[in-house]
Amino acid sequence: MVLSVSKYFTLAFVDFREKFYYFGAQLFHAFFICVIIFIFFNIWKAIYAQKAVIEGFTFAQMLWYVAVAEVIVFCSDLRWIETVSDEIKTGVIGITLLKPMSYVLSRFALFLGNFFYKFIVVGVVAFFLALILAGPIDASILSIVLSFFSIILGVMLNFVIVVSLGFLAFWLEETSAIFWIYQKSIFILGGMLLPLDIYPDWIKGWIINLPFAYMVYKPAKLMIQFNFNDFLITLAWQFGWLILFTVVLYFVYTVGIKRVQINGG
Amino acid sequence: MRNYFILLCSLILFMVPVIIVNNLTKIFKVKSKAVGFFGKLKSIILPKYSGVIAVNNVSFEINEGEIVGFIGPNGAGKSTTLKMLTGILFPTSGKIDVLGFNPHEQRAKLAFKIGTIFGQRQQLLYHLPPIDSFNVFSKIYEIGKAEYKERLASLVKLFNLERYLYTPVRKLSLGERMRCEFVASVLHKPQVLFLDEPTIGLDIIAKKKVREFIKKLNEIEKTTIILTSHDLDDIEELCSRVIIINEGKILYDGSLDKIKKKLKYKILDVYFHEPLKVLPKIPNAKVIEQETFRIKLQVNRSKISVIELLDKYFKHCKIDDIIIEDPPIEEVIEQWY
Repeated sequence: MVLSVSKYFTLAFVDFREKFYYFGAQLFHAFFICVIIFIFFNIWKAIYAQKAVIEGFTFAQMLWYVAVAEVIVFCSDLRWIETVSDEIKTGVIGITLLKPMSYVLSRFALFLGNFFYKFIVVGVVAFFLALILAGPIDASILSIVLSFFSIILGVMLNFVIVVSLGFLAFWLEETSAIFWIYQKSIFILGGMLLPLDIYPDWIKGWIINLPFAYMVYKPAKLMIQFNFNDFLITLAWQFGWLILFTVVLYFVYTVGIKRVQINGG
Repeated sequence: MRNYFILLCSLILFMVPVIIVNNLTKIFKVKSKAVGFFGKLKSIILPKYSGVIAVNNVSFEINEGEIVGFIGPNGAGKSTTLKMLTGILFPTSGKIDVLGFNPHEQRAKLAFKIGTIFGQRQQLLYHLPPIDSFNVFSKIYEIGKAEYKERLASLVKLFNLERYLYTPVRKLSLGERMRCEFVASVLHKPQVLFLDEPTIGLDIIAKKKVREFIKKLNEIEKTTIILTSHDLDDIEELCSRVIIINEGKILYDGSLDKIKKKLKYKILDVYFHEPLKVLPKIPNAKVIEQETFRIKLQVNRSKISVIELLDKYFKHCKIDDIIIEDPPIEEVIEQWY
């Protein structure tokens, strides 16, 4: 059975273990995210000196939003566009295709292993710093669990889009420009740098229902200001985008795989 | 006489082809390079493609338990054929049947029945010990726990891997790593094993060991093996049958002995103890390279034997070493052609 879950679970778990060989490098990443959070802490501190609440966010909520959004984007690893396109260009894809498993699902297993590893190493450090700098925010265990579920759906949506874009290497020789545009779109349209509430209404009206917002902004906001109604609406949009992009991914993969050229040995 | 006839008939009847290839062709589409700024701009909007024929109307059958060597120069179409047989490349035209499967349409199902080693690519997890990779492969190939335990124990013994099982792959030598690659590839008892340059980069001892393992696998498990190699020794030691392929076409399909009989030349590398002052004029031997203490000759075997040549022309020279080689594979093919 190509779709047997246990093989993908094993792959994710082994990748999770293998990543610990780069533990030192991840600590550097964690340090860098702490620096970013500290910079935002000072910027927002200066802005909040005039007001107690901005667009519905208190200072503590804003800093927690920044921490959660940064961690989501970092752990989602947008570089998978390049990872997949490199596998196609170099022919490494052949090694996976020779195994009785789905290429996409095997990459998803590795992607999840990578996500959880980074979330544990970097997330813990970032959230601990946010706690020290801004103090705790009002959140129940249920709201954290449900928001985390939305984060996972956002991460899955990101994976499906990122792998579809990586598969463009079947047609294009280079995908680094696509990676650059996608990364910047996540930063700006996804709400990694600022919650979308800060944007003027006419811009927010345009970007609020794009898939980028459902990868970062909506799940991060749920974590900070949980509302069951918002949770259900977010979930419905996330599932909708996920189904649409899964169809796109299926189409791109089925057409693209026929074009694979595994050169040289 | 009658008994021999019956034996021969039953042998023919029991020769089951596991691979059937009919009129297989693969044409790669290559984007034509445009010249000049406007040419490049035009090629972005209206790209032009040309076709490169990698495999050209190839047909053959391989029977169960055979070890078949695919030989040919770089870019001859060996690896492309192998990749189409495993299902990772789509053929442009033609039919392939591997163990009853159409490889590119039933790739995942076929993957349970075949094993592959690409000498230039690694499938083991680089930072973890081989045992972790084996455990992962046992899950991927859905091998039962008890069966896996038993299989792994026998392969570890066969490949003499006890010492390396718990050493991270990155710390293993190329030869040790290749042995682990073999175990990973045959854990699920494949019926057909595809080996693409399995001895590339290995030293003589490691090569010898790999060849022994291939032989044992074939003998013990009756695995059908399809091998590509640039090393004629691999082919010579392992393959009863060779397929010579060049420019995508099969030039020869038959026994290696037949080819060797047709080889006109041998390369003779002679190392002298003292400088060779005067080089004798040797008919039927062409000087390829000459240094103070060394001479490399291409000897026409049909006219003069190597022993005769040494005896006749270098009898009085103090010789340190002699290496007799087959000509490079390209020349073998050229001679065959």
